[in-house]
Amino acid sequence: MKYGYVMKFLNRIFNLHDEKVNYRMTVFVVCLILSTLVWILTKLSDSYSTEITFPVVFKNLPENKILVGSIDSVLKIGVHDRGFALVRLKYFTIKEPLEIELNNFRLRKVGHQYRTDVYSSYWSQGLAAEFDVEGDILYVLPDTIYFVFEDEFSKEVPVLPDITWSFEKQFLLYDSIRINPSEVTIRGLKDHIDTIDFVYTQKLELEGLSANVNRKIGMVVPGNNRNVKIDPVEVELTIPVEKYTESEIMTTLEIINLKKGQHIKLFPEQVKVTFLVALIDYKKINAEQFRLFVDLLDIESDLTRKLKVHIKSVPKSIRIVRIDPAEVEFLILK
Amino acid sequence: MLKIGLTGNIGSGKTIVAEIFNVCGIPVFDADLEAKKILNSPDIISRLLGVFGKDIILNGLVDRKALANIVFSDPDKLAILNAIVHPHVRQDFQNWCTSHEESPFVIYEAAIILESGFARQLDSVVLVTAPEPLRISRVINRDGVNREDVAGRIKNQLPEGEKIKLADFIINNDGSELLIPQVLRVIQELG
Repeated sequence: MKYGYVMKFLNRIFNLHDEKVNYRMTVFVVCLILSTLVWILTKLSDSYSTEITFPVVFKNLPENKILVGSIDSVLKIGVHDRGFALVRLKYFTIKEPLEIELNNFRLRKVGHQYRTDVYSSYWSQGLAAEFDVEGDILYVLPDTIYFVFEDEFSKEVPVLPDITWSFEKQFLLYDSIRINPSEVTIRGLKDHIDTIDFVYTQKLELEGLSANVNRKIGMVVPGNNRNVKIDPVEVELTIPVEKYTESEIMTTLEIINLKKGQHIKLFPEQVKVTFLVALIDYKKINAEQFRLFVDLLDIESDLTRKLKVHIKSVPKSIRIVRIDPAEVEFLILK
Repeated sequence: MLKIGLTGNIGSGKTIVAEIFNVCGIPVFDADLEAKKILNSPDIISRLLGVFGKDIILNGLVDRKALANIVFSDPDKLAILNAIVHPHVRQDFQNWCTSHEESPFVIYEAAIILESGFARQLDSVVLVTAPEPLRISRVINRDGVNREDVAGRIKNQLPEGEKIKLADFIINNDGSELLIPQVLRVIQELG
C-alpha cells in the first residue's frame, strides 16, 4: 500500500505518532509537491531569454603565423527559447568545444603583424546547429574577435641534459650522455626565439644507477613561454653505465725537449698509473697504451729539482686515479 | 778506496738511491743481485739441497719463491741460507773492488749489512729510511704480495730505529725530502 510507505517515510522524518495529524500532513505534502511540479511545467512552457556560454577552439591558424595576444576561449550567446530548451541547453548539454576554422579569413598586414577581425555572429548558425538551439539567437559576445598574427620564426638549438645522477658502488658513467636528436627546432616569435640559445631537458634525478638508461624525455621551454614550440617534443636520452674495477700499470717515462748532446736521468724512470677501467674493457688495456712524459722545458731554473709527469696518451676508456710519483727527480748528466 | 755499505729495510728505496750513486759515477755492487746469481751455481745448489731438500729445485734451478717461503718463516733457516750464500757474495765483492780502485769509494748495496755483521768490514754505512706503512705498501705494489708476506719479511730485519743508531748516514725516502740532494751530500762528505 502506497499510503503506508508515505506514512512510514513521513514518520521517520517528522516522528509523527498522531494518526490524524499524520494523515493531514501527508495530504499537504503530496499536494505541495504536485502543485510545484505543475507550476514548474507551466513556467518551462513559456519562452525566456538567457545567456549561455559555449567553449570554442580556433583551428587551422594560418601557416607560419603565430596568434599573439589572448583570445577568448568562450562565446556568450543570448538565446530566446522555451524554458525546457533553455534548461536542456544550460544544464543538460555537454558542451564540447566548438571548433572554429580560421583558414578561411583573409589577413591584412599592419606593420609586422597580420590582422583579421571576425564578427562572431558569423558562427551563430554553426553554434545553433552544433548545440541544437531551436530558438532565436539574440546576440553573440564578444561580437567581434580581433585576431592578430605575427610571422613564426624557427631555429635549431642544442638540447642540454638537466640531470643529476648517482651510481651504485663500482658503477660509473662509461661514455658521455647522449641526447638524440642533439638539436631541436624551436618555433615562435622572433623576439622569443632570438633569446634562446639552448633548451634543457626536463629535470631528472637518477639514483643508484647500475645499468644503461634509455628513455624519452621532454624539454623545458625557457621561461615557460607558451608561445614557443619545440619540435620534436621529446628526445631520446641515453646514459651508458658500466661496472668498473681498479687496475694499475708501470710505464717508463718519455723525455721531451731534450737538447742535443744533453743526457738526463730520472729517478724513478718508471711511474705507476692507477686507473679505473670498465670490466668490458679490462682485457683490452695494456701498458703500451700508456705514454707519459716529462718535459725538460719545465725546468725553469737551477732550483728546479723535480719534473712533473705529464700524460701524452692513455686509453680513452679509462679514468686515471693517480700517478705515483706525480713528480720525479732528475739529474742532468754532462 | 772506501767501501760504503748502502742498506735499508725492505721497501725503503735502496735501489733508487743506489741508482743515483751510480749515475753520479760511484760504482755500486748489488749484493742481492749477486746472491741471486750465485744461488744457481752448482756448488751452492748442492749445499742448499742438503739443507732445504729437493722441493726448492725447479727445472734444475733454485726455485727462489719456494726458498723464500721457507726462510722468511724460519729465522734459523734464513741464517743458514745467509751463511751459505753471503761468503761467496762477499768474496765476489772483494774481487769486484779491485777492478774499481780508481774510484774514491764504492757502494755495497744489500738489505742485511747490519744484521749480518758485514758492516764491520765496511768504512761507513748509508741507511735509507721510510716509515713502515709506506714501505709495506711499496712492496705490496712492487711485488704483488700480500701484507702478511711483507710483515713476515720485515720481522727478519732489524727495526729501522735500531739501524739508525748504527748507520753513519741517513737518507730519508718518505717523500718529504728530495733524494738526489741527500745523495749528493753523502758523496760530498765521502769524497
